[in-house]
Amino acid sequence: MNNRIAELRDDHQLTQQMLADEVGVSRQTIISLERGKYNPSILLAHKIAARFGLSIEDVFLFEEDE
Amino acid sequence: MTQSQKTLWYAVLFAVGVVLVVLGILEYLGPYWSGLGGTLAGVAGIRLIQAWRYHNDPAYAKKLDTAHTDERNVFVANKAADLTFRVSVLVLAVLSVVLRALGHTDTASTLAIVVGAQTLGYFVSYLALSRKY
Repeated sequence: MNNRIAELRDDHQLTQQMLADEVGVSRQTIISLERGKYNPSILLAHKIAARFGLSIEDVFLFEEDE
Repeated sequence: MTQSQKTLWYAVLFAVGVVLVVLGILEYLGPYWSGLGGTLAGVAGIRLIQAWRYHNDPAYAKKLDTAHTDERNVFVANKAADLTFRVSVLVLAVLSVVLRALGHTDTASTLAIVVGAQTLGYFVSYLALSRKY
């Protein structure tokens, strides 16, 4: 699953640590999400999407073969 | 368990460990018990230092709280536990067969029972968790 976290974070001028603190996870989790190495829970996906004022589908890009 | 209960628990474990080590040094107990005491005192001592830092360093406390609740960290810990369980069951099963072939029947039987108990434990846990979720 791909996502737009890095792009949105850049647009909102947020560091990985700032976003991590706001959604209550470690910076390493944000790094893993941005690299596509870890898929978030629905709750974390919701928190991240809500932080950017978007829906989950706008931030996390599901692909057919997943 | 609250943080202060944990601290108390680790203090008790540390004290027990130190007593075992001292009794070992004074030769009231054998090396097995003093070794166990040393391990206990070491692990509990580290936990006590962590608890002390948690109470006195807000930045460390925040970092520790995040680490404990961080979903990726929990995911990784569960994965590690899962992998360790699978590998240990496999290693014990292979070891049991090898020891049986080498004629160490008693040890092989003990290992086979342990593997059986672990496998049974897994199925019981699976059934219990299936009902819960």
